[in-house]
Amino acid sequence: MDELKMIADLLTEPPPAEQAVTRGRARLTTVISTPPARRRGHRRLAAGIIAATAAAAVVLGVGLSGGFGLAHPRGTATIRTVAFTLTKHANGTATLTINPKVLLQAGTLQNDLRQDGIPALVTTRSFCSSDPIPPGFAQVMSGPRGTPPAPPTVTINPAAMPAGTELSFGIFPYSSTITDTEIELIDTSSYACSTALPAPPPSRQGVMLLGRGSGMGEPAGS
Amino acid sequence: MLANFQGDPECFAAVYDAYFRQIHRYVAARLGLAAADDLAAETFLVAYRKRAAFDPVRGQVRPWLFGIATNLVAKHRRDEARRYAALSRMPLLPQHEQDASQEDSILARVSAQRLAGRLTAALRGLAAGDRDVLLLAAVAQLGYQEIAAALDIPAGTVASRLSRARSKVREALGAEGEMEDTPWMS
Repeated sequence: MDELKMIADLLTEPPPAEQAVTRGRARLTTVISTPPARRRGHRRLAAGIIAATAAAAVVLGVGLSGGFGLAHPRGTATIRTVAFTLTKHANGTATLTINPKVLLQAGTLQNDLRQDGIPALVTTRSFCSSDPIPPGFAQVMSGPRGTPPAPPTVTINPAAMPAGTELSFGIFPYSSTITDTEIELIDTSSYACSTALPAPPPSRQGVMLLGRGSGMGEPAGS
Repeated sequence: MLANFQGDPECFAAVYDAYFRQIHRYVAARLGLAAADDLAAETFLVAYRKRAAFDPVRGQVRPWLFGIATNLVAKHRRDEARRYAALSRMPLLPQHEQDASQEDSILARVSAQRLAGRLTAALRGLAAGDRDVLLLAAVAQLGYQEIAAALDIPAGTVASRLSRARSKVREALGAEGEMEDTPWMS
C-alpha cells in the first residue's frame, strides 16, 4: 500500500488558472518595484493628490447618506452589497453604483463583475495600468447618473471592450469613510501595478475616478 | 539566477516563476483552490520580505518556500479540517477508473468513498506537526532533508513524524487499504 500516493491522489487539485499566476506575479512585482519608504508614505501622497483634484470634471458625485441594503441572493439581475450595487441590463450593459463610505472588497467586486461578463482586475491600495492605455474607454464607460447626494454610478458596456482588455479598478481608501476608486482599461498582455496613485485623471486619457468630491462630469475621453 | 535574489530583488520574480505552481499545488491540496490563489501569492510576498533571513547553507530555496507556505496554512487549520470533511464525501478517482464500465465504476466509487472517508479522518486525527511532514512528503514530494529544512527541525524528527503519520494512516485504512485492486492504485 502506498498511502503517500493515495493522499496525493485524494488532495490534488487542478493547476492554478493563468490569471491567478499573473495576478500573484503582479502583486509581487508591485512590492519589488516600490521602495519601502515610498510604500510608507503612500497614503499621505495619495490623499494629497486627490485633495488637489477633488473638483476635477471626472470626479463623480458622492452620496453621504448611504442607503444600501443587505446582500440579495445571487442569480438575480441585481447584486446588492453594502459596498456596491451591480445591475445587469437586458441590453448587456451593467450599472455599478459604489457606496464611497464603505471599503470595497476587491475579490467580491471582481468576481461579481466577471459574473456579469465584465472582465475586471480589482486591486486595493494599488492600481494596474497599461502604457499605452488601450483606446475605447469612453465607449465602455458612461456616467455619471444621478445627482448629489446620490452615490456615484457608472454604466459599463462590456461589448465595447476591445479584445484582450480588462477594466482595472484601483481602490484607494484613505479614511474610514472615504474611498476613491480609479478605473481604466488595461491590455491584459501588458500591464504593471503600483501602489503609487496614478496621475490625476485630467492629465490622463481614458480614466475615471469614483470617489469623494462634488463635481460631476463625463469620463476623460479615450 | 535564483541564488542571486538576495542581492538583486529583481531576481525574485524568477523565484516566483520557478516555484509558484508547486506552492499553489501544495496549498490547494490542504486548503482548496480558492484559498490557494491568495495564499500561494502571499507565500512569495512573505518570502520577499524575509529574503535576508534565507540561509543557502541550511537549504535550498524550494524547501524554504514550502516552510513559509506551511506556516501560512497553519493559520487556517479550521479551513483545512472543513476541506477534509468535504473530501470524505467526494471520492476522487484516477481518470482511468472514471472511464471504466458503469458497474465497475460504481463498485470503485463505493470503495473509494469508504477509503476517502477513512483517509481524511486519519488526516484530521494527526498532530499538526505530523500532518505537515506527511503532506510535505506526499503532496510536495520533499525528501527528508528538505522537509527538515522547511520546518526547521532535525532530519531524525522528520523520520519519526513521517513514520508515525504513515502508521496511523495505514491503521485507519485497515485491511481495505491493502486490497490489491484498490481504486487509488494506478
